[in-house]
Amino acid sequence: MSRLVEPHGGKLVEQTRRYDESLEELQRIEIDKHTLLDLEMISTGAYSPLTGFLCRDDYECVLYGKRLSNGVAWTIPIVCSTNKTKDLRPGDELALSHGNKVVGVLTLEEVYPHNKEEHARKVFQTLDPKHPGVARVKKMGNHLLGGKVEKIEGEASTIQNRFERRTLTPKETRYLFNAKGWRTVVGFQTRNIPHRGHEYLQRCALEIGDGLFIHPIVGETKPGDTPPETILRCYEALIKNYYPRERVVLAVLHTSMRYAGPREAVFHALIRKNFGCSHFIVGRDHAGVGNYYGPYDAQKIFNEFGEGELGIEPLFFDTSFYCRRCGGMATKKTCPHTENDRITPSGTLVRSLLQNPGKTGLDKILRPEVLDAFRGEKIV
Amino acid sequence: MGRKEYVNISIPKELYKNVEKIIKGTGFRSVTEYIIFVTREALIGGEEGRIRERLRKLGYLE
Repeated sequence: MSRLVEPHGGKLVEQTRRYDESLEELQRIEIDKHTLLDLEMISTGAYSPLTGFLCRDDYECVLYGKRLSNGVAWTIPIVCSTNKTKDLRPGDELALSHGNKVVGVLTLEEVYPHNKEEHARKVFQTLDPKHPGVARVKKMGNHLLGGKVEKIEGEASTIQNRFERRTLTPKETRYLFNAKGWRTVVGFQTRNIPHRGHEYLQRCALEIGDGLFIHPIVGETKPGDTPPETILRCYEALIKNYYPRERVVLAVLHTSMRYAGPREAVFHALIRKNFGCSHFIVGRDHAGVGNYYGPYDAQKIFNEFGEGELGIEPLFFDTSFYCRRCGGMATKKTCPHTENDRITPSGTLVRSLLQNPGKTGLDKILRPEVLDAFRGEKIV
Repeated sequence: MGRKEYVNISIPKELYKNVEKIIKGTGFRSVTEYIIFVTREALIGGEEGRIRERLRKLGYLE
Protein backbone atom coordinates (compact mmCIF):
# COMPACT_ATOMS: atom_id res chain seq x y z
CA MET A 1 0.00 0.00 0.00
CA SER A 2 1.25 3.46 -0.90
CA ARG A 3 2.24 5.82 1.86
CA LEU A 4 2.61 8.72 -0.54
CA VAL A 5 0.25 11.65 -0.92
CA GLU A 6 -2.81 10.98 -3.05
CA PRO A 7 -2.86 12.33 -6.59
CA HIS A 8 -4.65 15.66 -6.99
CA GLY A 9 -8.38 15.05 -7.11
CA GLY A 10 -7.88 11.59 -5.55
CA LYS A 11 -7.10 9.49 -8.61
CA LEU A 12 -4.29 9.30 -11.14
CA VAL A 13 -5.77 9.83 -14.59
CA GLU A 14 -4.57 7.65 -17.46
CA GLN A 15 -5.93 8.34 -20.89
CA THR A 16 -4.43 6.41 -23.76
CA ARG A 17 -5.76 4.38 -26.60
CA ARG A 18 -4.35 2.15 -29.29
CA TYR A 19 -3.85 3.39 -32.80
CA ASP A 20 -6.14 1.97 -35.41
CA GLU A 21 -6.60 2.94 -39.02
CA SER A 22 -10.10 4.28 -38.48
CA LEU A 23 -8.52 7.27 -36.71
CA GLU A 24 -7.27 8.45 -40.10
CA GLU A 25 -10.89 8.96 -41.14
CA LEU A 26 -11.63 11.39 -38.30
CA GLN A 27 -11.65 15.12 -38.78
CA ARG A 28 -8.21 16.43 -37.88
CA ILE A 29 -7.09 19.24 -35.66
CA GLU A 30 -3.40 20.06 -35.91
CA ILE A 31 -1.90 20.91 -32.52
CA ASP A 32 1.36 22.68 -31.78
CA LYS A 33 4.14 21.30 -29.62
CA HIS A 34 2.95 23.11 -26.51
CA THR A 35 -0.50 21.47 -26.80
CA LEU A 36 1.06 18.12 -27.65
CA LEU A 37 3.04 18.25 -24.42
CA ASP A 38 -0.15 19.08 -22.53
CA LEU A 39 -1.84 16.10 -24.17
CA GLU A 40 1.00 13.90 -22.95
CA MET A 41 0.78 15.29 -19.45
CA ILE A 42 -2.97 14.67 -19.31
CA SER A 43 -2.58 11.15 -20.65
CA THR A 44 0.00 10.13 -18.04
CA GLY A 45 -1.84 11.70 -15.11
CA ALA A 46 0.64 14.51 -14.50
CA TYR A 47 -2.30 16.92 -14.77
CA SER A 48 -4.72 14.81 -12.70
CA PRO A 49 -7.61 15.36 -12.22
CA LEU A 50 -7.84 16.78 -15.76
CA THR A 51 -9.09 14.24 -18.27
CA GLY A 52 -9.01 16.59 -21.22
CA PHE A 53 -8.85 20.14 -22.46
CA LEU A 54 -10.99 22.47 -20.38
CA CYS A 55 -14.59 23.17 -21.29
CA ARG A 56 -15.90 26.70 -20.83
CA ASP A 57 -17.20 26.31 -17.30
CA ASP A 58 -13.93 24.91 -16.00
CA TYR A 59 -11.92 27.39 -18.07
CA GLU A 60 -13.73 30.38 -16.59
CA CYS A 61 -13.56 28.97 -13.06
CA VAL A 62 -9.80 28.54 -13.44
CA LEU A 63 -9.39 32.00 -14.91
CA TYR A 64 -11.45 33.82 -12.29
CA GLY A 65 -11.32 31.53 -9.27
CA LYS A 66 -8.11 29.45 -9.64
CA ARG A 67 -10.24 26.35 -9.25
CA LEU A 68 -12.10 23.93 -11.51
CA SER A 69 -15.90 24.10 -11.59
CA ASN A 70 -16.03 21.30 -8.99
CA GLY A 71 -13.95 23.42 -6.62
CA VAL A 72 -10.67 21.52 -6.99
CA ALA A 73 -7.70 23.90 -7.05
CA TRP A 74 -6.24 24.50 -10.53
CA THR A 75 -4.51 27.67 -11.69
CA ILE A 76 -3.44 27.30 -15.32
CA PRO A 77 -6.01 26.83 -18.11
CA ILE A 78 -5.09 23.76 -20.14
CA VAL A 79 -6.72 24.35 -23.48
CA CYS A 80 -6.71 23.38 -27.12
CA SER A 81 -7.24 26.25 -29.54
CA THR A 82 -8.16 26.32 -33.19
CA ASN A 83 -9.43 28.61 -35.91
CA LYS A 84 -11.11 25.73 -37.69
CA THR A 85 -14.60 25.26 -36.27
CA LYS A 86 -16.60 24.43 -39.39
CA ASP A 87 -18.52 21.16 -39.08
CA LEU A 88 -17.45 20.57 -35.48
CA ARG A 89 -20.25 19.12 -33.36
CA PRO A 90 -20.27 18.11 -29.70
CA GLY A 91 -19.88 14.35 -29.44
CA ASP A 92 -17.52 14.16 -32.44
CA GLU A 93 -14.25 12.36 -32.08
CA LEU A 94 -11.48 14.51 -33.51
CA ALA A 95 -8.01 13.27 -34.40
CA LEU A 96 -5.37 15.51 -32.87
CA SER A 97 -2.36 15.55 -35.13
CA HIS A 98 1.14 16.91 -34.81
CA GLY A 99 3.46 16.94 -37.80
CA ASN A 100 0.70 15.25 -39.77
CA LYS A 101 0.68 12.26 -37.43
CA VAL A 102 -2.32 11.34 -35.31
CA VAL A 103 -1.18 11.67 -31.70
CA GLY A 104 -4.46 11.73 -29.83
CA VAL A 105 -8.23 11.77 -29.92
CA LEU A 106 -10.42 14.53 -28.55
CA THR A 107 -14.04 13.70 -27.81
CA LEU A 108 -15.49 17.12 -28.38
CA GLU A 109 -17.81 18.44 -25.71
CA GLU A 110 -17.77 22.12 -26.48
CA VAL A 111 -16.43 24.78 -28.84
CA TYR A 112 -16.28 28.24 -27.34
CA PRO A 113 -14.75 31.60 -28.15
CA HIS A 114 -11.29 32.32 -26.84
CA ASN A 115 -11.10 35.70 -25.17
CA LYS A 116 -7.34 36.05 -25.48
CA GLU A 117 -7.10 39.39 -23.75
CA GLU A 118 -8.91 38.12 -20.68
CA HIS A 119 -6.86 34.92 -20.75
CA ALA A 120 -3.59 36.90 -20.76
CA ARG A 121 -4.76 39.44 -18.20
CA LYS A 122 -5.86 36.84 -15.68
CA VAL A 123 -3.05 34.33 -16.12
CA PHE A 124 -0.07 36.64 -16.74
CA GLN A 125 -1.36 39.83 -15.12
CA THR A 126 -0.26 41.81 -18.16
CA LEU A 127 -1.12 42.41 -21.79
CA ASP A 128 2.44 43.27 -22.71
CA PRO A 129 3.24 41.36 -25.92
CA LYS A 130 6.86 41.12 -24.78
CA HIS A 131 5.77 38.69 -22.07
CA PRO A 132 6.38 35.22 -23.62
CA GLY A 133 3.10 33.85 -22.24
CA VAL A 134 1.10 36.77 -23.61
CA ALA A 135 2.86 36.45 -26.96
CA ARG A 136 1.87 32.80 -27.13
CA VAL A 137 -1.76 33.43 -26.21
CA LYS A 138 -1.95 36.07 -28.95
CA LYS A 139 -0.83 33.48 -31.49
CA MET A 140 -3.38 30.90 -30.37
CA GLY A 141 -6.61 30.16 -32.21
CA ASN A 142 -9.78 32.16 -31.72
CA HIS A 143 -11.78 29.21 -30.43
CA LEU A 144 -11.18 26.64 -27.73
CA LEU A 145 -12.11 22.97 -27.95
CA GLY A 146 -13.10 21.29 -24.72
CA GLY A 147 -13.45 17.59 -24.07
CA LYS A 148 -11.84 14.37 -22.94
CA VAL A 149 -8.59 13.40 -24.66
CA GLU A 150 -6.71 10.17 -25.15
CA LYS A 151 -3.16 9.99 -26.36
CA ILE A 152 -2.25 7.34 -28.88
CA GLU A 153 -0.01 4.79 -27.19
CA GLY A 154 3.61 5.05 -28.20
CA GLU A 155 3.17 8.32 -30.08
CA ALA A 156 5.52 10.45 -28.05
CA SER A 157 6.76 13.87 -28.97
CA THR A 158 10.28 14.24 -30.29
CA ILE A 159 11.44 15.85 -27.09
CA GLN A 160 10.23 12.90 -25.06
CA ASN A 161 12.35 10.57 -27.16
CA ARG A 162 15.39 12.80 -26.62
CA PHE A 163 15.06 12.34 -22.87
CA GLU A 164 13.67 8.85 -22.66
CA ARG A 165 16.36 7.82 -20.20
CA ARG A 166 15.13 10.47 -17.78
CA THR A 167 11.42 10.37 -18.51
CA LEU A 168 9.22 8.92 -15.81
CA THR A 169 5.44 8.97 -15.55
CA PRO A 170 3.69 9.76 -12.27
CA LYS A 171 2.85 6.09 -11.94
CA GLU A 172 6.53 5.21 -12.29
CA THR A 173 7.80 7.80 -9.81
CA ARG A 174 5.14 6.71 -7.33
CA TYR A 175 6.29 3.11 -7.73
CA LEU A 176 9.91 4.20 -7.34
CA PHE A 177 9.33 6.35 -4.24
CA ASN A 178 7.36 3.51 -2.67
CA ALA A 179 10.09 1.03 -3.51
CA LYS A 180 12.57 3.33 -1.78
CA GLY A 181 10.32 3.44 1.26
CA TRP A 182 9.80 7.20 0.99
CA ARG A 183 6.78 8.83 2.50
CA THR A 184 7.75 12.49 2.25
CA VAL A 185 9.27 13.64 -1.01
CA VAL A 186 10.33 17.19 -1.79
CA GLY A 187 9.86 18.29 -5.40
CA PHE A 188 12.28 20.74 -6.97
CA GLN A 189 11.39 22.50 -10.20
CA THR A 190 14.20 23.95 -12.28
CA ARG A 191 15.17 25.30 -15.68
CA ASN A 192 18.72 26.27 -14.78
CA ILE A 193 22.02 24.59 -14.12
CA PRO A 194 22.50 24.03 -10.40
CA HIS A 195 24.51 26.65 -8.56
CA ARG A 196 25.31 26.63 -4.87
CA GLY A 197 22.08 28.52 -4.13
CA HIS A 198 20.02 25.67 -5.54
CA GLU A 199 22.21 23.19 -3.74
CA TYR A 200 21.55 24.95 -0.45
CA LEU A 201 17.78 24.66 -0.93
CA GLN A 202 18.08 21.03 -1.96
CA ARG A 203 20.17 20.18 1.07
CA CYS A 204 17.55 21.81 3.28
CA ALA A 205 14.95 19.68 1.47
CA LEU A 206 16.97 16.55 2.18
CA GLU A 207 16.90 17.46 5.86
CA ILE A 208 13.12 17.67 5.74
CA GLY A 209 11.98 14.84 3.48
CA ASP A 210 12.77 11.18 2.94
CA GLY A 211 13.75 11.94 -0.63
CA LEU A 212 14.40 14.73 -3.11
CA PHE A 213 12.85 14.73 -6.56
CA ILE A 214 14.72 17.04 -8.96
CA HIS A 215 12.44 17.61 -11.89
CA PRO A 216 13.74 20.01 -14.56
CA ILE A 217 11.38 21.19 -17.29
CA VAL A 218 12.35 20.17 -20.81
CA GLY A 219 9.34 21.42 -22.74
CA GLU A 220 9.33 24.63 -24.73
CA THR A 221 11.27 27.39 -23.07
CA LYS A 222 12.19 30.87 -24.19
CA PRO A 223 15.27 31.92 -26.16
CA GLY A 224 18.16 32.34 -23.79
CA ASP A 225 17.18 29.49 -21.49
CA THR A 226 19.85 26.86 -20.88
CA PRO A 227 19.47 23.74 -23.07
CA PRO A 228 17.90 20.93 -21.03
CA GLU A 229 20.69 18.52 -21.97
CA THR A 230 23.16 20.83 -20.22
CA ILE A 231 20.95 21.13 -17.16
CA LEU A 232 20.68 17.36 -16.90
CA ARG A 233 24.41 16.83 -17.31
CA CYS A 234 25.16 19.39 -14.61
CA TYR A 235 22.67 17.80 -12.22
CA GLU A 236 24.09 14.36 -12.87
CA ALA A 237 27.53 15.72 -11.93
CA LEU A 238 26.18 17.37 -8.79
CA ILE A 239 24.32 14.26 -7.63
CA LYS A 240 27.24 11.97 -8.37
CA ASN A 241 29.73 14.06 -6.42
CA TYR A 242 27.78 15.72 -3.65
CA TYR A 243 24.46 14.07 -2.85
CA PRO A 244 23.51 10.78 -1.20
CA ARG A 245 22.45 9.16 -4.46
CA GLU A 246 19.91 6.81 -2.93
CA ARG A 247 17.97 9.79 -1.63
CA VAL A 248 17.70 11.73 -4.88
CA VAL A 249 15.74 11.05 -8.05
CA LEU A 250 16.38 13.05 -11.21
CA ALA A 251 13.82 12.98 -14.02
CA VAL A 252 12.48 15.47 -16.54
CA LEU A 253 9.07 17.08 -16.91
CA HIS A 254 7.72 17.41 -20.43
CA THR A 255 5.72 20.57 -20.25
CA SER A 256 6.28 24.08 -21.46
CA MET A 257 7.11 27.01 -19.26
CA ARG A 258 4.24 29.49 -19.17
CA TYR A 259 6.11 32.20 -17.24
CA ALA A 260 2.90 32.74 -15.30
CA GLY A 261 4.77 33.36 -12.03
CA PRO A 262 2.46 32.82 -9.03
CA ARG A 263 -0.19 30.81 -10.86
CA GLU A 264 2.49 28.60 -12.35
CA ALA A 265 4.07 28.02 -8.93
CA VAL A 266 0.82 26.42 -7.75
CA PHE A 267 0.50 24.54 -11.04
CA HIS A 268 4.04 23.19 -10.67
CA ALA A 269 3.30 22.12 -7.11
CA LEU A 270 0.13 20.24 -8.13
CA ILE A 271 1.98 18.45 -10.93
CA ARG A 272 4.66 17.31 -8.48
CA LYS A 273 1.94 16.14 -6.10
CA ASN A 274 0.74 13.87 -8.89
CA PHE A 275 4.27 12.53 -9.20
CA GLY A 276 4.14 11.65 -5.50
CA CYS A 277 5.69 14.69 -3.81
CA SER A 278 4.45 15.80 -0.42
CA HIS A 279 6.43 19.07 -0.43
CA PHE A 280 7.45 21.54 -3.10
CA ILE A 281 10.14 24.21 -3.03
CA VAL A 282 9.05 27.68 -4.04
CA GLY A 283 11.89 30.15 -4.26
CA ARG A 284 12.00 33.79 -5.13
CA ASP A 285 10.18 34.77 -8.35
CA HIS A 286 9.26 31.19 -9.21
CA ALA A 287 8.36 30.84 -12.93
CA GLY A 288 8.79 34.56 -13.35
CA VAL A 289 10.15 36.49 -16.29
CA GLY A 290 11.27 40.11 -16.47
CA ASN A 291 9.66 42.25 -13.80
CA TYR A 292 6.06 41.21 -14.31
CA TYR A 293 5.62 39.74 -10.83
CA GLY A 294 6.71 40.75 -7.37
CA PRO A 295 9.66 38.74 -6.00
CA TYR A 296 7.46 36.91 -3.47
CA ASP A 297 4.15 36.76 -5.37
CA ALA A 298 4.74 33.09 -6.16
CA GLN A 299 4.84 32.39 -2.43
CA LYS A 300 1.97 34.69 -1.42
CA ILE A 301 -0.48 33.01 -3.81
CA PHE A 302 -0.46 29.89 -1.64
CA ASN A 303 -2.34 31.92 1.00
CA GLU A 304 -5.32 31.98 -1.36
CA PHE A 305 -5.88 28.28 -0.71
CA GLY A 306 -7.27 26.77 2.44
CA GLU A 307 -5.40 24.53 4.83
CA GLY A 308 -4.80 21.21 3.08
CA GLU A 309 -6.68 22.32 -0.05
CA LEU A 310 -3.69 21.82 -2.33
CA GLY A 311 -2.57 18.60 -0.66
CA ILE A 312 1.09 19.50 -1.05
CA GLU A 313 3.13 21.57 1.34
CA PRO A 314 5.03 24.49 -0.19
CA LEU A 315 8.47 25.19 1.25
CA PHE A 316 9.28 28.86 0.87
CA PHE A 317 12.85 29.98 0.57
CA ASP A 318 14.45 33.37 0.28
CA THR A 319 17.38 33.99 -2.03
CA SER A 320 20.44 32.16 -0.79
CA PHE A 321 23.96 33.52 -1.11
CA TYR A 322 27.55 32.74 -0.28
CA CYS A 323 28.67 34.75 2.75
CA ARG A 324 32.41 35.31 2.98
CA ARG A 325 32.24 35.85 6.72
CA CYS A 326 30.05 32.83 7.40
CA GLY A 327 32.20 30.85 4.99
CA GLY A 328 29.19 29.12 3.45
CA MET A 329 25.75 29.41 1.93
CA ALA A 330 23.03 31.19 3.88
CA THR A 331 19.92 33.32 3.56
CA LYS A 332 18.87 36.53 5.26
CA LYS A 333 17.15 34.36 7.81
CA THR A 334 20.39 32.72 8.87
CA CYS A 335 23.13 35.29 8.18
CA PRO A 336 23.56 38.67 9.94
CA HIS A 337 26.28 40.08 7.66
CA THR A 338 26.07 42.80 5.04
CA GLU A 339 25.56 42.76 1.29
CA ASN A 340 29.30 43.43 0.84
CA ASP A 341 30.06 40.04 2.38
CA ARG A 342 27.74 38.18 0.05
CA ILE A 343 27.91 36.67 -3.41
CA THR A 344 24.42 35.91 -4.60
CA PRO A 345 24.32 33.19 -7.28
CA SER A 346 22.05 33.78 -10.22
CA GLY A 347 21.88 32.64 -13.81
CA THR A 348 23.06 36.09 -14.90
CA LEU A 349 26.04 36.06 -12.54
CA VAL A 350 27.01 32.54 -13.58
CA ARG A 351 26.94 33.59 -17.24
CA SER A 352 28.98 36.70 -16.54
CA LEU A 353 31.61 34.77 -14.58
CA LEU A 354 31.82 32.08 -17.23
CA GLN A 355 32.34 34.69 -19.92
CA ASN A 356 35.02 36.42 -17.86
CA PRO A 357 37.12 33.62 -16.36
CA GLY A 358 39.45 36.19 -14.76
CA LYS A 359 36.74 37.26 -12.35
CA THR A 360 36.83 35.66 -8.96
CA GLY A 361 33.91 34.07 -7.17
CA LEU A 362 32.95 31.35 -9.60
CA ASP A 363 34.19 28.65 -7.23
CA LYS A 364 31.93 30.06 -4.52
CA ILE A 365 28.77 29.68 -6.57
CA LEU A 366 29.43 26.70 -8.84
CA ARG A 367 30.85 23.27 -8.01
CA PRO A 368 33.89 22.47 -10.20
CA GLU A 369 32.27 19.23 -11.41
CA VAL A 370 29.17 21.17 -12.44
CA LEU A 371 31.39 23.68 -14.21
CA ASP A 372 33.14 20.85 -16.07
CA ALA A 373 29.78 19.43 -17.08
CA PHE A 374 28.71 22.85 -18.29
CA ARG A 375 31.86 23.67 -20.28
CA GLY A 376 31.78 23.21 -23.98
CA GLU A 377 28.24 24.48 -24.13
CA LYS A 378 27.48 27.65 -25.97
CA ILE A 379 26.44 30.35 -23.56
CA VAL A 380 23.32 32.01 -24.92
CA MET B 1 -21.16 3.95 -4.22
CA GLY B 2 -22.93 3.19 -7.51
CA ARG B 3 -23.77 -0.30 -8.64
CA LYS B 4 -21.07 -1.93 -10.78
CA GLU B 5 -21.88 -2.64 -14.40
CA TYR B 6 -21.05 -6.03 -15.90
CA VAL B 7 -20.67 -7.39 -19.42
CA ASN B 8 -20.76 -10.98 -20.66
CA ILE B 9 -17.68 -12.60 -22.08
CA SER B 10 -17.26 -16.08 -23.51
CA ILE B 11 -14.67 -18.67 -22.61
CA PRO B 12 -14.35 -22.24 -23.91
CA LYS B 13 -16.71 -24.64 -22.11
CA GLU B 14 -13.88 -27.00 -21.24
CA LEU B 15 -11.97 -24.20 -19.54
CA TYR B 16 -15.11 -23.25 -17.63
CA LYS B 17 -15.49 -26.82 -16.33
CA ASN B 18 -11.84 -26.96 -15.32
CA VAL B 19 -12.19 -23.72 -13.37
CA GLU B 20 -15.31 -25.11 -11.68
CA LYS B 21 -13.22 -28.05 -10.47
CA ILE B 22 -10.37 -25.82 -9.31
CA ILE B 23 -12.55 -23.55 -7.19
CA LYS B 24 -14.40 -26.35 -5.40
CA GLY B 25 -13.73 -26.02 -1.69
CA THR B 26 -12.14 -22.58 -2.05
CA GLY B 27 -13.52 -19.21 -1.11
CA PHE B 28 -14.54 -18.46 -4.69
CA ARG B 29 -18.30 -18.68 -5.04
CA SER B 30 -18.40 -18.83 -8.82
CA VAL B 31 -16.30 -19.15 -11.95
CA THR B 32 -17.01 -15.48 -12.66
CA GLU B 33 -15.62 -14.46 -9.28
CA TYR B 34 -12.48 -16.49 -9.89
CA ILE B 35 -11.95 -15.14 -13.40
CA ILE B 36 -12.36 -11.57 -12.15
CA PHE B 37 -9.78 -12.23 -9.41
CA VAL B 38 -7.26 -13.81 -11.76
CA THR B 39 -7.69 -11.11 -14.38
CA ARG B 40 -7.22 -8.34 -11.82
CA GLU B 41 -4.11 -10.03 -10.46
CA ALA B 42 -2.70 -10.39 -13.94
CA LEU B 43 -3.34 -6.75 -14.75
CA ILE B 44 -1.80 -5.45 -11.54
CA GLY B 45 1.13 -7.85 -11.61
CA GLY B 46 1.73 -7.22 -15.29
CA GLU B 47 1.78 -3.48 -14.98
CA GLU B 48 3.87 -3.40 -11.83
CA GLY B 49 6.29 -5.81 -13.41
CA ARG B 50 6.63 -3.58 -16.45
CA ILE B 51 7.24 -0.51 -14.30
CA ARG B 52 9.80 -2.32 -12.15
CA GLU B 53 11.61 -3.59 -15.24
CA ARG B 54 11.71 -0.16 -16.88
CA LEU B 55 13.00 1.49 -13.70
CA ARG B 56 15.66 -1.16 -13.43
CA LYS B 57 16.71 -0.74 -17.04
CA LEU B 58 17.00 3.00 -16.62
CA GLY B 59 19.12 2.55 -13.50
CA TYR B 60 16.61 3.93 -11.00
CA LEU B 61 16.27 0.59 -9.23
CA GLU B 62 18.83 -2.10 -8.46
